[in-house]
Amino acid sequence: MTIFVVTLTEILFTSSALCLAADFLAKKVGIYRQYLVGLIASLGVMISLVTMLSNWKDYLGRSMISQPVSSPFSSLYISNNFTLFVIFLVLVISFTVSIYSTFWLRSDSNVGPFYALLLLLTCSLVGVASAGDFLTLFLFWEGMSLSSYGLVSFRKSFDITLEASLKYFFIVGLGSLIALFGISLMYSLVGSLELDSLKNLPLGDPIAILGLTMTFLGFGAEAALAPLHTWLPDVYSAASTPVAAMISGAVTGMGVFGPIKILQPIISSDASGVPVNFKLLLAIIGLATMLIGNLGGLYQTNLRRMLGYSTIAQTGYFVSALSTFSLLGLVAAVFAIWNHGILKSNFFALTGSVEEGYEGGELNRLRGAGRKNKGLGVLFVLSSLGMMGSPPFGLFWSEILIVESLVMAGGLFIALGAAVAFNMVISIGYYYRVINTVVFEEPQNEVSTLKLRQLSASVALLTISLIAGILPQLFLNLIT
Amino acid sequence: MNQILSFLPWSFWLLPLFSVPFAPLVARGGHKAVWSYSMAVATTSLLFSAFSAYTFESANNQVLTEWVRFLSVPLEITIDGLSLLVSVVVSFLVMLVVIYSLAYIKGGYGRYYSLILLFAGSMLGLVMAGNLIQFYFFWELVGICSALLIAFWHDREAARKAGMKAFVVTRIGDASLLVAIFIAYSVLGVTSFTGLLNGLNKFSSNYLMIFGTLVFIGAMGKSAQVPLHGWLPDAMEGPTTVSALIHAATMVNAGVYLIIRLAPLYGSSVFLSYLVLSIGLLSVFVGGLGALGADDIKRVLAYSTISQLGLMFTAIGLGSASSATYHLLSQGLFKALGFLSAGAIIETLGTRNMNAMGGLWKSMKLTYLGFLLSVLAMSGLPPLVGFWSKESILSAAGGGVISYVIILSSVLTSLYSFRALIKVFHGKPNFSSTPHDPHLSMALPILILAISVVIGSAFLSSQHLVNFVSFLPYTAYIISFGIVVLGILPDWLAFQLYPLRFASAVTNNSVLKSFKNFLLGGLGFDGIYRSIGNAFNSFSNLVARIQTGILGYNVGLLFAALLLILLLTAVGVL
Repeated sequence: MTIFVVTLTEILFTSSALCLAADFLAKKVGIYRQYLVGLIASLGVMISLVTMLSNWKDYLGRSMISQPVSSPFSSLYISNNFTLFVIFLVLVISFTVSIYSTFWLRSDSNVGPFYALLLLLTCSLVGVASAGDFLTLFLFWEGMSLSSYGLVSFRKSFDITLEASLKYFFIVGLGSLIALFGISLMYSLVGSLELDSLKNLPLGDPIAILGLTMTFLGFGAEAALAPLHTWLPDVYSAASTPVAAMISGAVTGMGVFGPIKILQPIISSDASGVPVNFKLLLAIIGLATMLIGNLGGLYQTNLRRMLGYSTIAQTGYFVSALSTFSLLGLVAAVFAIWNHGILKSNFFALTGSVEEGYEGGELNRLRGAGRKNKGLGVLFVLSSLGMMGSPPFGLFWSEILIVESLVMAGGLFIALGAAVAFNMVISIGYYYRVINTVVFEEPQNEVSTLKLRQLSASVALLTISLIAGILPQLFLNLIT
Repeated sequence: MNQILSFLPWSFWLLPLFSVPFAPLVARGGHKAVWSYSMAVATTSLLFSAFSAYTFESANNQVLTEWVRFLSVPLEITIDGLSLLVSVVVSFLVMLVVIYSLAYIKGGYGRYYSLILLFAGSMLGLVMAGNLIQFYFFWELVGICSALLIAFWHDREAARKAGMKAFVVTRIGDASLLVAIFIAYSVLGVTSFTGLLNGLNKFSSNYLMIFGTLVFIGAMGKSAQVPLHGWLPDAMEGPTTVSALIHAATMVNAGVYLIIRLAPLYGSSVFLSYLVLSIGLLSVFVGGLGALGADDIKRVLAYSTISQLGLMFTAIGLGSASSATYHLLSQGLFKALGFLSAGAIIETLGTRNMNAMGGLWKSMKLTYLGFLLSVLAMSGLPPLVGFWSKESILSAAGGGVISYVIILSSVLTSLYSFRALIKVFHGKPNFSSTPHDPHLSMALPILILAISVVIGSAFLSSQHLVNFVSFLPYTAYIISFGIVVLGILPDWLAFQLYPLRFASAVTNNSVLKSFKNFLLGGLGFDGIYRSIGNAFNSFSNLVARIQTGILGYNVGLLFAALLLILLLTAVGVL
């Protein structure tokens, strides 16, 4: 049985190349360029999605770490409930974004490279999610970062996009370097690059903990953990909407999922040896990250920056759940990454549909936009409620699970659980303001009416989140 | 037949929930269409809930299906006298408010009716919920409906702000409740109410205290108890129908309902019962004084709600959950009556300021009757519902110091309610328009509620909530009359006979004046809220200062973090 994840990366990589070719051909014809290339990209992602869904059932109900039976790639890739669930997220977001981009790319000339990079990013994300050893993980990690830099600086005529992209490059690049050093430290102790062999990591050895911490810190740069979060608001506000949707929904989540992959073998074998101080360090990072995210978001006047800070806060919640080193914490973090990914990319898709060529997202300029367009208003209200962690949206359950994992861990973690719960209250402060400004206030600027197709991405993602909110077990079945 | 019967307790809350998505579509057909639609749903829901209460035989838990297996949370309902009785009253009030809305609501129909239906479904779902997680799910949903309905008239900045305030303040309580739920889960491994109450002895006394306190903070947020009460007076920016339904008669009772459900927990610990008792009594007086100082008729009623809810908590603190239940139901009726009557006045005069009213009793006879009955019931005049429920609380106090405090608070209640009545309906008119009684669709609910305030006690007593009513000592009647008289007399002097002299006395005497301003300002709690907000503001600025946007600085942070980790390892901390 060949592991199908390999097929997925192949399909995505091929589609990426096909996008470039199609763009070249379409340039000759001259019309419908973005639709043609977009169609190919969407088809590529769709085929991957179908492949994945048709293979998924073989993997359900297996144990957390399940190696595929004898395959040439058995050490390079692993698929278990967590990885498949995250790949599912990546493909859903990528599919939505590639369709959404066809409406968005009207005035741009580099349609081919855009889609090629988007699919390359998707391919790398799938690779990161399913990597079975450090080498594969690092390779795809770099692929993910590189295609992200390219996508962020896609509209290269704007200074701010270039600046943001440079910042992103420097910090995340340095982060990878630190992670690499951490990986080499762990390799020196275990003698194997396979992630699964980490269960033999001598946790009592300070070198092992240093290696783990450095890997965490390095990968954490991509996830915008405090104090490495500073690039994120800049990138979110400068990147074009589809890119921001992709980065906020999938790439940042992957920044936490990378460390989860490293922790998973440790947690599923025996986590009792993890030093308390390491747990505490993670807990403190989690707490600091959520506080910085939520307090920073509180008085932002720019919607995209605010969403950026909200993402930082969410990563803080994920890391808090991880700091318990329990299976419950892992499930909570993965489920939260998934729910947050769906809702956040939905929010960016929504923001993009009102901005209409205006690349800044100043909240005041969106004043009353949701009042002129009732559908838009409803979507904004629902998305904001979803992001606050209100029922009946998926994020409600994942935040419940995070609080649960922390309280169940007992001791000081109960206080951290309370901190997460109260941080969710702070997030109302800014998300409610979005409802207030965009939906409730009197419109100031001329707001053009929107067509349904422009909102379709948002409607689709919100529907998924609603299903996850009303029937959470449907999705929890996939990871537990 | 039995299967149909067993599905009845599910139907009356699932039906409104399923009907929500269609309401905006029906609203395209105009107000009448969506009103009829909501009316049909509300009436069916009332009939179903009444029928399930009628056919109720024995208390039990019904599990429909597994909902979230991972959290071992089934979709379950608690069927007992308490849940069914509260459901009947809630669905009854929902129906009355929907009737009232026909003439009262102008514009925004789709939004309004879908939120009202969502509220009805969630509130009934909350009441019927069999476990804490399901309860919390609906608890959050009613909070959302409440906040969005407060901001319903979103053109007004005050309404938008009030919506946000309500959302944030109640969510503080919710966060506390959420943590509490999992503390119970970590000890007992269950979240169902019955499992929780059966396993109380498994808690260590510290855990019991923490759990009880956190749950109570949750209840304080929803039920507007001091110091988490500040959102309720501001919530009066919403439509009066919403104030009547959500912020007087149903949602604000959810906190009390939760504590009643967990009453054995609060009875088992001296600390917890004193906590509930003291916060309850504090709220009784803070609410009462706030009502005495307010000039906005709806704010008077809101503060009075805080005070009455405090009285219910006092009853629970005294160990009498049944009298708290009784007062919960009777307050729901007479407060809704008060609000709907006030709505009729606001509708015809276009103001909520009581100083711009006066002498309305001649032109608005039905409204006067409604408001008068509400005020009399609130002050506890026999034989209205308020009398019986208050008496049951007094008898729970058992003649100790607390009962004198409760009597004192009743005098305060009587004082502020007659002040409102006299200022609005008696004295000299202070307006130029010609007020009139409302349209039939608004008059009908007032009439129905007025009748139920008079005869409601018969119905509630038949539900075996109280069994001592028949042999109440005659002193109880004397005290109740005395309280009403003590309330009327000063008010009559100050606002009917010598209004000018009283007003000038207040303006000339600096102590009285500052006291009045203190009361008018809600006893200074808003200042505390504001300073907390400012604190967050400065924290937020601090965080913004880290975000310099200078690359060298950011990379420096990365290296600093790295250095710190190396240092920690070198020192041996990690």
